Amino acid sequence: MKHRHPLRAVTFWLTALWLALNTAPVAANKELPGIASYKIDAQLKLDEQQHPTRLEGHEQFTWRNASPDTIRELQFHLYLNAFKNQRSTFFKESGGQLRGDQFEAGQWGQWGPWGWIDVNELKIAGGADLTKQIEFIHPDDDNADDQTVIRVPLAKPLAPGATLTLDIRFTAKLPRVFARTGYWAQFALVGQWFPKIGVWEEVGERRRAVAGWNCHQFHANSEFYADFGNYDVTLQVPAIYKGKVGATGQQQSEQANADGTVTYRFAQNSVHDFAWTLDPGYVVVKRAFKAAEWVKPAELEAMAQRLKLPLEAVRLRDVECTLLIQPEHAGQTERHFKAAFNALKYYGLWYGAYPYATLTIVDPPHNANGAGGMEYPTFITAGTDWWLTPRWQEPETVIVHEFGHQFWYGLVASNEFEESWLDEGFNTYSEGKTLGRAYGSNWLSFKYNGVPLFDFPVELPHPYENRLGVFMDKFNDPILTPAWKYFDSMSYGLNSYPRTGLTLVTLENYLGEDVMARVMREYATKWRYRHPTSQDFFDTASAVAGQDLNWFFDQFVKGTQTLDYEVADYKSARPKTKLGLYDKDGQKSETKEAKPNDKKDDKAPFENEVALRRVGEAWFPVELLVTLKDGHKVFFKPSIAGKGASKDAIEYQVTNDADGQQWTERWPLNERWKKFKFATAAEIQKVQLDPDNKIQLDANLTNNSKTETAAIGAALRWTAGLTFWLQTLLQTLAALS
Amino acid sequence: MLTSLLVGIERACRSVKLLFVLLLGNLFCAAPVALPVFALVQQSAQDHVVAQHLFADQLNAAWLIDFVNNQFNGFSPVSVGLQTGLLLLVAGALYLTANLFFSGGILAVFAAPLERFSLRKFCEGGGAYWWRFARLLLIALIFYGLLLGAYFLASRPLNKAAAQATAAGPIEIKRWLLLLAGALGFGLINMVFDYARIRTVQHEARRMWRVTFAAWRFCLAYVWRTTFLYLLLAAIGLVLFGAFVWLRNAVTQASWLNVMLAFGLGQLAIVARLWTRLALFAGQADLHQRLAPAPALAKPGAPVIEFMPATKDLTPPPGFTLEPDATTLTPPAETAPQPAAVAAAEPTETSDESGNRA
Repeated sequence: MKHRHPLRAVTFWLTALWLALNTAPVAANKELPGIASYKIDAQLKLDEQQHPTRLEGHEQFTWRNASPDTIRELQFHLYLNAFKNQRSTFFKESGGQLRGDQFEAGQWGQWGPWGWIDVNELKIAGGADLTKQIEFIHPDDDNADDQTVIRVPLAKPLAPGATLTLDIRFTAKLPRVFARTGYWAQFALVGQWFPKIGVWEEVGERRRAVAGWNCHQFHANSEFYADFGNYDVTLQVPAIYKGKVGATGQQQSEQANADGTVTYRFAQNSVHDFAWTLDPGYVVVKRAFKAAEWVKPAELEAMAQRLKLPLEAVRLRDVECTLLIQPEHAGQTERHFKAAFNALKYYGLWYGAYPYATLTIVDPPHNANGAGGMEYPTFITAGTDWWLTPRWQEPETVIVHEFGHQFWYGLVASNEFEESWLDEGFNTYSEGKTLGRAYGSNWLSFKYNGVPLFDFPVELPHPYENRLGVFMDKFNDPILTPAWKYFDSMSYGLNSYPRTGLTLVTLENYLGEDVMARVMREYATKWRYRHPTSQDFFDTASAVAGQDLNWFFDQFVKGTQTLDYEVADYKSARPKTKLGLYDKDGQKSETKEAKPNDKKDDKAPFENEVALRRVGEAWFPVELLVTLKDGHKVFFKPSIAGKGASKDAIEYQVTNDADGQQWTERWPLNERWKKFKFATAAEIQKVQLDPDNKIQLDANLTNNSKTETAAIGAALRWTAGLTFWLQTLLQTLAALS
Repeated sequence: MLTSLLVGIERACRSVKLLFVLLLGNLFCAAPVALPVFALVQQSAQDHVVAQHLFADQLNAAWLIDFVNNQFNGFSPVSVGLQTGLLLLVAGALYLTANLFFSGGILAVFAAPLERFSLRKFCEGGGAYWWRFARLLLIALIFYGLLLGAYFLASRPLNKAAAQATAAGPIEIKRWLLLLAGALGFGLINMVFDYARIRTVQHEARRMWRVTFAAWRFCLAYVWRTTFLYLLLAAIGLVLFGAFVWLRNAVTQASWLNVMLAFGLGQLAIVARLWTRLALFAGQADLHQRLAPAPALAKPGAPVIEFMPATKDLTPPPGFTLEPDATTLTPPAETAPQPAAVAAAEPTETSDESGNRA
């Protein structure tokens, strides 16, 4: 055993104590795994058109009251009823349109394309029948027609720590695939298909003041929230699906039945949902993610050092991956696995090893877009095109993103209804980093009739793609807004995904990559299998970074302010002789002519003035770099002056590397502009705010600099290119005449 | 057909001045769109450091995104899209109009006995045939419209099948095949109206519907020769254009020299397209002249007599008789005997109500 330096031990214990003090709310939370467990037997039947639409199920449901409260009623989601008719809250909000998909109420056999679920029987195991007590409720709106949440009063209240088992029989019909679930031809993605209990939140959990059920209706702009538990699901399907079924968890058995059906059993512990799929057309490919092959020892050591963790804590595990891919995409098998393995590697290194033994990747068929790009525990759906170019990162982007949800909502089970940024935005940030590491920049392609014809000459490094659209308009909502309360679906999309991505990239660039890595790791580890809130992340970030970051989160997560700094102007000149009358020896003497070429003037330092302007409402400690014509630089390193609510200025430590001269400047936070005046031996060549584009939240990076030359080359170069294509277009048109 | 092909290539190669004029016209019509773009880029980048990054082979992503965000401010791509579309429409209409003039000029130059380019002849031809070619364009648009309608009609079952499909590949392949058929249909109409223009010039025709039908009959009567000539010349043009575009794209445009080189190669690519147009006109004109020649022209310098109602008081001018001389008089156009094949297919045209020959 090696001896450690005594100071290191003291530092360790002080840090541990400090972290413990700052993470007090965690200790108050219950341990989540094993709260809601399901044993489901379901039969899937084909309708008269041979579509897999009908489900009959028996759910043996066990719920443990892990709270100190006495529970008098239960609340369940019946999400398939969102697709029952156009009066559901989901339909009213979405108008039957979601993610570019249109719900078509055409002729689709009995009951059309609609989906529904009926609870036929609900009783306490070996006890009272509660079926007649079932009542639809609408906790989010007054829509009496919405049937996506039920409450069931208990005949006998459930004491703290007690366990309750229910027997539930249900019948369901899958909708024509839409919004993450449904059938298409003989394919089906079966998600949100069984009565699923809401989350009982005790006082203090997720900062709640009053204990109660958190069981939201199905909304257009939101996803899910549930407690962890163990799932044991048996699925009886028609024989045509033999060998073509995939589901959450590990397959336990496959058994052919006398009636021509096949029964599958899947099981998975410590997850909070269960989805499955089947399609007789699937090509099924299995591969193993071998951690030792994908992560080199040097990478492990570097990550352990960065996170200040022992090597064992960052080691990854092997994972059995199953790909269910469409025959026309079989040529893309390698790309699918590579994307999944890259995601397993990087997310695992950064946020802790993926803890499950399996991962199932589903490629839905053409016209089943509503089933694509979705995440369920240990089970993701991807999406690709029939024709791809190597540069076009389509399946990779979807797979990495959906896999990322295994962490952001899967393991760190935030509430997707109320704080969608914690899953979608965190995942956008992580996805961009993963794609950047594994694949480099993205390229914009022009596609026609499904074929990518050419790439535009734009290399789009991650995460710049997130800037497109986000800054086209003022923000209507803070990032931190309940999903169904955003101004519109556009605002939900921009805030939950790219704006959050940019916010976290900006935070990373401000804190430094190492500190940010530790922030994210700490948050991911501390809240694994738990339900954190935004404030929990804010607290973790401030604690790990060792500084108060509320100014950042208040402005950029809780606020709608735009951040935009610009270099308004700069001047750089030697002092000229000042004209006019001067008293000299009791006489008035006139200086009539400036003498710029005077030898004395040639040696005089340049007098500079750099004018910066805060165009947006938000402030940020933005760095300034002034480059002189002789190659020397003047650095303006910012820091925030004041603490807590009394932050009042950005303080600049200025260093001129020509002579080593240093001084400080202040820019009060309440002032919109600042002029820095200083002298240098050489003339200014260019002035750059945030020279490395670290502040990705800056709405306009283009106005962050000024140079002395009005360069015409760029405009000529691109206009020349455009002119050529215009000429080509015109000449094509000339064929008409 | 091969002779016409060679004639087309030879004449196009000799028309350097004509190519230059056409290139200038093309550049001039692109300017209304290119100049505002130049001004926008210059305004957005001129005194910013980003201009240094923009003077490169790839567009700077940060600038491009900020540019789009600022230009499309308020998330209203429809309005900006409309503006851009309108600008393109104006430039397109301008070029289409100009090209009617160019076509007349080109064919007039090729129809001239010496086949030598003169700006005067070019302009005279352009002016003389402009209105007739404009009418031909309107007729052509009807045919193109019919083709488009047929394309959409043929697409409907495909779209219906696509909406029910579980695999994209087979549908997309059929879409591309349909597109290919549409392109061939476009080529056919394009070729027919090339011959209509040629016939208008060679036969001094003025009745455009008749010319159109005559051109259809001609193309169908000599379907292999006309089609192969068209496809061969089009293929040569495409290869030339593709080669120059490939070369242009291979240039890394990160220095002034390379930008100029790329621009030059781009202009050569455009010249290749213009050359193809000239070669097509010249080759097709030659083929048409061989297979459906215009009636014999008057002897150069011979005075043309106008027939007037004879009156008792009217006496013929000195040196002329009242009986027309068959050797000096211009015969009515298109009433001359035709080669057997064409004569069988084409009815002769007669003078129209204004006395003009159609």
